[in-house]
Amino acid sequence: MIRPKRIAAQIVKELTQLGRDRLTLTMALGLPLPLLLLFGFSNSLDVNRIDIAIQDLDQTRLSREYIATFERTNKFHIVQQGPQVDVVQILDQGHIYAGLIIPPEFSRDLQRRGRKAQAQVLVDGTDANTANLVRGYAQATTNTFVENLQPSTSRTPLSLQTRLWYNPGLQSLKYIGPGAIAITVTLFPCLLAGLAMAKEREQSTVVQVYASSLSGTEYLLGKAAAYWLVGMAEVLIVSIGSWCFFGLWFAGDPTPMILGSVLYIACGVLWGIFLGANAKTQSAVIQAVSFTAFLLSLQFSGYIYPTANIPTALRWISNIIPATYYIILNRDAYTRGIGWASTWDAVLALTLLSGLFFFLAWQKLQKMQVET
Amino acid sequence: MKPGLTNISDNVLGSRFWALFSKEVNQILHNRQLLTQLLLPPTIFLILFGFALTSTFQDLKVGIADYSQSRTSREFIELLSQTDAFVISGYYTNQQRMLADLSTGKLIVGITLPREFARDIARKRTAQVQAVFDAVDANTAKVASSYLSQLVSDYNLRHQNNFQQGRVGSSTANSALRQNQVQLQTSVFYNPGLETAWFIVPGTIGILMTVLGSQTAASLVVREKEAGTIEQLMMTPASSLQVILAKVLPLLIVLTIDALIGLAVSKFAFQMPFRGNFLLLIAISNLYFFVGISIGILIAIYAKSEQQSQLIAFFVNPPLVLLSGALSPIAAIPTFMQWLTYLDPMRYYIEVYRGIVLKGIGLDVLWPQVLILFVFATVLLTLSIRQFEQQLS
Repeated sequence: MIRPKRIAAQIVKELTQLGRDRLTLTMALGLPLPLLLLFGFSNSLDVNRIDIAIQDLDQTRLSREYIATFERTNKFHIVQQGPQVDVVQILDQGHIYAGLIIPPEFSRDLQRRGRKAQAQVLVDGTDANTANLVRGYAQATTNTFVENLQPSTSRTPLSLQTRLWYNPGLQSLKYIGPGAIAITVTLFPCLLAGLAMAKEREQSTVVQVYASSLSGTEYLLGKAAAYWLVGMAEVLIVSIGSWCFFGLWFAGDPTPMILGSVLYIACGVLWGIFLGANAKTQSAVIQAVSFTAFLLSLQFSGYIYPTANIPTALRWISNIIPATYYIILNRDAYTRGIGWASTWDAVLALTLLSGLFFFLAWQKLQKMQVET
Repeated sequence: MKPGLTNISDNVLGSRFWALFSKEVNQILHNRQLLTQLLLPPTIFLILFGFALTSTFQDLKVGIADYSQSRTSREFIELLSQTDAFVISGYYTNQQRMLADLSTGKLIVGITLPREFARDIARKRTAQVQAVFDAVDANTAKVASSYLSQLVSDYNLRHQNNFQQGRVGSSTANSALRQNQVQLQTSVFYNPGLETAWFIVPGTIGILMTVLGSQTAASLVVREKEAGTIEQLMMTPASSLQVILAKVLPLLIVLTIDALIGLAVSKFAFQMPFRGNFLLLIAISNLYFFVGISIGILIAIYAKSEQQSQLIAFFVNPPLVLLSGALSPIAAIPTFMQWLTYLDPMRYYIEVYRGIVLKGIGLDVLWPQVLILFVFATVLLTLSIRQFEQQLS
């Protein structure tokens, strides 16, 4: 039996309690925006300026032309060049991502028939993803240099026409930004609900609830609804923030994302209540939440690298994490813009997960009542 | 009340300090929960982070609409299936249907080979291949498109001579006789296999050392504050510096053990090399632990309960972690934010860690970072101890 009036009273009580806790309140409403900016800007993989040092031992017109090709790509930024540059040392110091060595016979070999001119590029592999891209750019730049030398009559068998859909400028922010929204609103709804639940247990005020005429379901719904409201306020703040600072705006039908937010926040709150009901102390809740809700979401949701990159043995984890689906919905709303056709399965998954978390929390609360 | 720095060395082995120190060691050893917290999560985190965050792109899903249906087109498609990077997840008779799958995220790239494909190549005309990428994920699209261009230019190189024969008319235009060829040899330093884990794992170790150090230090001090025993400690003849150092030193030992676990995990789970000086790494790590611990003490000063100290840590740790370049390159951060990274001590520790472990470089190159870390440690430790004394008196 569910009586809306009692649930409403429960919501008011929870929110009043939250309002008295200054530290937690600042955290819930003040921290999301700075976090959004940090997550959005600092996790980009887009190294736009690749610092490079060039040791030119050839010093001819052709080698200078080769260097100029690197300059013209505006992807590379030449830090040092000349015959004396010690590429390896600068690489060790970490000032450059790559070093190019042009050997003394470069232009001689280039002009001689049947000989290949050699050039060597040394890439700092510490950051594998960037190294991969740098390697590709260096090869592409070299290809451009060679093509420019060819007589214009020569033709290639294949020409590749590349179209980049949804994000033609390849802006990282259009990928990371929607993910940052999801990650930012992951932590607090879950944390606040968990803390409130654990506090009731720690201070044994939950016994008073048992003594009242409030039913278990009403109690759960009231508590969840209160923190769900706080979570939705965060979603609003963060969405406005992403519009102001990242320039993200709906690319298509936003309804899957809006429905998804409703479900996603519910998932977080219910999971928080479940953890809170299981934990003995509030600090245990904080740890459980930051591990399960926050860190797992951060790593397994496909926020930085696509989930397809995760080794198969661990990939199932990302399938049971709500953030994976919520990020899909956000990316669709802000970047892809297809709408329901590409997102209905994510919405369905979120519905199932929130149902599962509701059941877990409900069952735990029932058990708790029996135990006490 | 605060002794000069010269006195510290005399006092360290003094009996008062020793008594306090063994008390703290006992306290930590008796706190099972704390010990598991300090030793178990780091191992799990390292393994999860290392495996979960991978930029090794394999099985990028390709859709193909082959309107040509010829031997030439199949030969080209064959090239795609030969690399690990791509996996052909579907052949389409209709380009529209392929693009619909692309729009729902089932494909990363859709390649269309036109009807004239085989005819154009046979007639020595340039054939057009169209590739549409799902660029929502800019990084993946970039990597995929660079792989594909690579494949196409390989194909071109292989077929160019035979292609130009008819046109130029030279009888034997052998590739060996061509002019203007450049061979770019790429050598990848420090991480030849381009393992992302080798980048992520040192970053994660930096994160763990900071988070564990600051949180544990904060809860140790706060617990003592909550229980009111800190006043008792202050009443003892030991100076507050001694009290704090005695509190901190057992933590240094535990964190060092954590660092060793980290190294073991890097070696056995990720086959990471260790190229530099082991003792140097441990020494600098210990210097850095003082930074984390001082941050923890500062948090404890403003917190009334353990739970509050953990919540305050949420204000402090995320900026430290996200501005450190632990998980993504600092060069990718917008310039105005890059300035903030210079204020993040973790940035320098991770640079040092990667430098020693992966590059095998030593103090001769890394001294600026170490110097900055030293300044951070001294300033933060002095600040935290002074604040602590002020609060108590």
